[in-house]
Amino acid sequence: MLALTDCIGRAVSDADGIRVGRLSDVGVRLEDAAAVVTSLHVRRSRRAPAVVVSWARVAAFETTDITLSARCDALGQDPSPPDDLRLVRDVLDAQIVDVAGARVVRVGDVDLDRRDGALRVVAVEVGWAALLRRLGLRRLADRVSPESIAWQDVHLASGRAHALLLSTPSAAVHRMRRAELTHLVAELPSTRSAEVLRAVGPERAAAAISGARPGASGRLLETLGPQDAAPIVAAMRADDAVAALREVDPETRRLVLDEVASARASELRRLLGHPPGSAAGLMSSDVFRAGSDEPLDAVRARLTASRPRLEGLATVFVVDGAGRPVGTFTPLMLLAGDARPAPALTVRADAPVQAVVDLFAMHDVLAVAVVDAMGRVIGAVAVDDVLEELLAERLPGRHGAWFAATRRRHAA
Amino acid sequence: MAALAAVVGPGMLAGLSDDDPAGITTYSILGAEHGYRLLWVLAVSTAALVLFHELGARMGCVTGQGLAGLVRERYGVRWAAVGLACLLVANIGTTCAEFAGVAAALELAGVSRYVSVPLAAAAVSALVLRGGFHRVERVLLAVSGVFVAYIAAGLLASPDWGAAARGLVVPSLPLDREAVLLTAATVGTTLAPWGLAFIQSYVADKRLTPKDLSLERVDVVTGAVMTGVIGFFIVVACAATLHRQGRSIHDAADAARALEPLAGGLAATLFGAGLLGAALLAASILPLSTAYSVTEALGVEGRLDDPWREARVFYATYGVIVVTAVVIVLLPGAPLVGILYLTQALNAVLLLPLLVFIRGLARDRELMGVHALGRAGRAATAVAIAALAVCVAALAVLSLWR
Repeated sequence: MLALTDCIGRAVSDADGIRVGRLSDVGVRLEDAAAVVTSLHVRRSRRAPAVVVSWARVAAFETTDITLSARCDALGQDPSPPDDLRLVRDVLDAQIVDVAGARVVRVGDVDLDRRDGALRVVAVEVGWAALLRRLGLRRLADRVSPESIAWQDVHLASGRAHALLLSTPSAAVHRMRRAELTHLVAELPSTRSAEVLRAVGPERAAAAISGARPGASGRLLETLGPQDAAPIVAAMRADDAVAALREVDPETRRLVLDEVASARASELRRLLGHPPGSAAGLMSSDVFRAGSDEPLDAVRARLTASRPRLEGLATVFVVDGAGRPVGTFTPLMLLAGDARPAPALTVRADAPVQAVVDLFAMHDVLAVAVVDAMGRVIGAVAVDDVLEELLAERLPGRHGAWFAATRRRHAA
Repeated sequence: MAALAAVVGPGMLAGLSDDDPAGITTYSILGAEHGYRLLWVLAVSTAALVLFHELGARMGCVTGQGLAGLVRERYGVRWAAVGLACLLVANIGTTCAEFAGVAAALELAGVSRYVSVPLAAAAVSALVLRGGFHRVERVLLAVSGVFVAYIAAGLLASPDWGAAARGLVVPSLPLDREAVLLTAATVGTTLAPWGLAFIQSYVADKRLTPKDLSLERVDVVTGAVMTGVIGFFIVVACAATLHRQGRSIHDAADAARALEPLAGGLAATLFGAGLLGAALLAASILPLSTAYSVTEALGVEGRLDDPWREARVFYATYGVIVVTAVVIVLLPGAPLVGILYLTQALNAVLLLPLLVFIRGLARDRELMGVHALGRAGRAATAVAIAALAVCVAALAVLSLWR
């Protein structure tokens, strides 16, 4: 194993043993879950631009001895692929996201490993040991245990490197689970988060934005711009989309909704019309209704065919001809074959959020129906919507802890 | 307006915290010794403040990183370590100055420093440790409202507005040692290394993006101009009273005391209240700025919204800076004057390389893209840095001359 900073600045000699210059950077190409060294950048003097030597012309690469297989005067400028990463310029000291540990850190050193004649990046070092070593405090560094992150768990957050990784299908971000993605998006600067969301596609981006803390989701939509935000908003559950859109400035909100398919857009506009502190402001219009005369088998088949995106909303509300609720079936009741629905819990659209909270506290249910002034079902509030609302009130600015806990629970 | 309110903060806080006790002292002496004549220096330093704070905010918006982090990324770990070590010493010294300001302001009201300083330290620590980003920001902005006191004090002193206007636009500099020293000190106290580091880190913590830049510029310019305006009223208050009577003063608390018989008890109280608010604001921001810089250079960026578990270095740095400063200020027989003097010098010396780094980073197209410093910006920053270099050199030469 070689440490990058032990090699940088070392003398490079040619096939005849004549000194060419000093190693200034190392070019790598991103391959499946690995980064393979493709070139060395050798600087002849402090001012001169570096000469790029392809890896094929390197005879020996050790910390004590870097020798080329070509002669000094035959060294032209090997073409350096423009999309290659450079370890010193793009990785060393740059910010990275440790995907496994869900934190943003800076790279202290890069570990290289030789296998089958190729040199690969296997890990990056973070933490004190690498830092102390580079500051010349080796003795102190030896007392600290080194901390490294495997290359496949690294997401580079700096400029070009970030963009390159996003375009690599095997990069860590594409393997992340919902909660991990949510955390990553929360940790990165907004512009970088927006790029990640674009790269992972609307479905996963929608899940990540839905999980983002209050305030952050709106900012992400704004940074994405109406064109990119629209498909994500369309893929979000109606109540989450409304919550996120409430945080966006009115002009952007209008532009985003203009890009969303008209039926969905008008539904979102209607939901946005409800005041935020009311039951209707929290509700999702994706409510599952069944006719009072509909056979149970048909209801079961319909529910399985159009699976709601949330367990709580899998509650079936039985409505009469006018759309008024007459009963409710939970999935468990349908499974057990209960023929008689339980009484439906309802709340008026303009009821304060506290009324919904009280209802959930008193009854063992996952969702309650929201009814309009005529008593017709217009939506449902699921228990998680209420939880988010309560957390936003109780823990202003302390969502970091909450999200970290959520992430750990999901990872476990 | 709502969009502006969401962005406001970094420019205001970084600007106004530059009007700290050291700044108020410098402005008071400027007014007491030279009357309205050197007001133009304030206009020039306000322009420099706008220039560099805008750059800091811009870099924070575009890169989402703080200054210390960018210096490490672009100039390597050695430069970052040297810079950080200097910044750490200078910031502890400056934090001492802020707590000394709290002590001085409350001693005017007869409160012992052994009561006031620990209380102030507890208050600023509780704010940052217990509150999330938005709460901290709101409280700090509210505290900075106390600066209105200086405007009122300036008006109560019934100054000669014609002379003030002339002093503001007509540059003149008596070529004696004291005047040159004071000019350099005024520029040096307005533009501070920790302020520059703070604005960028804070913009990054606030998660502003290039889209917010135009509104953030409004915030930066407002903050810098308000800093200048408050400085203007302090100079004017002292010029209208102390200078006319030929009184000389040594620090800001001195000025408050001397104002009483000349401009009335209310003006003196306002001056003292302003000093207290300024000291509290800077005493919260300095450790915060240091915590940002330390965590960025070490690569473990912390944010105000992070819980203790995830940002130990961040909060620990904040705590250590506050405690160290309090202990130094309260230590009987501590050479406080020497520490403050050394701190000013270190800040001035540190400022130049920091500005060169900022300019280098801001013109880097690879880093900043379309937001990189253009030709006009490069020229303006070069001129500003050269002028500051002259100031620092003058300060050094004249200080050694003595």
